[in-house]
Amino acid sequence: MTKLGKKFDELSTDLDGKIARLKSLFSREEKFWSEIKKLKAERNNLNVKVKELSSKGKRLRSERDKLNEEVASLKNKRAGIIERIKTLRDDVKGSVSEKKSLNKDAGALSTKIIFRLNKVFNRLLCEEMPLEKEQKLFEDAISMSQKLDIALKADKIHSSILSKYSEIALLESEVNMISDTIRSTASEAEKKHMESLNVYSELDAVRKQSDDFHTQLLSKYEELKPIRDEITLLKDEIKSSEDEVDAAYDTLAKSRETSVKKKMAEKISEAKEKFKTGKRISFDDFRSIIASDDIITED
Amino acid sequence: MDNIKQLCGFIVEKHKRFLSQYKIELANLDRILVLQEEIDQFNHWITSGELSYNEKKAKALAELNSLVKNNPKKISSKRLEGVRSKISDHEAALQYWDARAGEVAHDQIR
Repeated sequence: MTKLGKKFDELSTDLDGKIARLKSLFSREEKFWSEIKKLKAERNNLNVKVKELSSKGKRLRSERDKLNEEVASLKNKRAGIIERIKTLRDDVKGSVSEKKSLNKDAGALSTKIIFRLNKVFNRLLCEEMPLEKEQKLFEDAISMSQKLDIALKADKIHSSILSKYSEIALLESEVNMISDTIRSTASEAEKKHMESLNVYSELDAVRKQSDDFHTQLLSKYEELKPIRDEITLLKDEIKSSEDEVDAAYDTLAKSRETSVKKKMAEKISEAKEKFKTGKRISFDDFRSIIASDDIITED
Repeated sequence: MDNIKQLCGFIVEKHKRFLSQYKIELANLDRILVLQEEIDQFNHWITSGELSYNEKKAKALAELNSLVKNNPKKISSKRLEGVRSKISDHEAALQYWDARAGEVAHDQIR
């Protein structure tokens, strides 16, 4: 084998090796892409779940906050009513004390005073009697009228106390109702809170899984990078090797052509010599003589 | 204060009412006594023959019977005194309660 042929063979073998290596790298790259695709799908699925859980958590927290606001508002309302009850109780306490004092001053119930007063009026306005007796009854009537005013005032306060007790009873019933509503609403808020905690706990776990997949994905990209770099490099090398092989092939072809032409010229010269000297010529010699015109012309 | 004034007014009205009743009764009693006197006189004249039964006596008798019928209380000089005494008491009381009502009104203005 000629030197040129040997070189051509070496370059070709090197090129084949590089192509084989490139194929192997492509295969590995494809495997990586497949894994990356799988990891991406897992991560994206989990991200969708994260989004759903986050939305659910936000909704639950919003519902919880709304319920808590409702509880706060109800507590405010209840505090107002309790304050009103306290004021009414204080009023009643004062009124009871005033009523007792008035009852003591009146000395008898208004109905009893009215009964007595009617009797006195009847005597005073219908009966005849000595002036002294009449004067005494007159003073009694005035005194009784004053006591009746006091007793009626006590009656009025008594009615007001009863009315306040009725109002207190109604307000206390309202407080009980509000307290029940507060309890049920707070319980509902607590349920929403616990539910949201569970959702956020699940969200953290899912997000962690998603992050893990993402980390794995990044790691795969990192692992893929040298392969891709090598592929790029190898592609350039193959291109350059192909150029070298092409060049070597051209050189070898030209060398072979020159060698063939030289051998042909020798053969023609030998055939012409045989022809000139009248020696026997072969068909091959004949063909060489025929082709020589071209060769001669070319020379 | 208004009530006291009003009460005084009612008492004054009561005394006026009694006073009016007693005055009527007093007038009736006076008339009865006059009629009884007249009838006695007529009887005397009839008994003495100076006068026979006549219309004047019959008329006086009818009036007397009517008055007696309408005054069921015992008609006597004691009753007359009693009525007079009642009138005097009611007038004194009326005067007192009028004055008392005036005082109340005066206190009101003050």
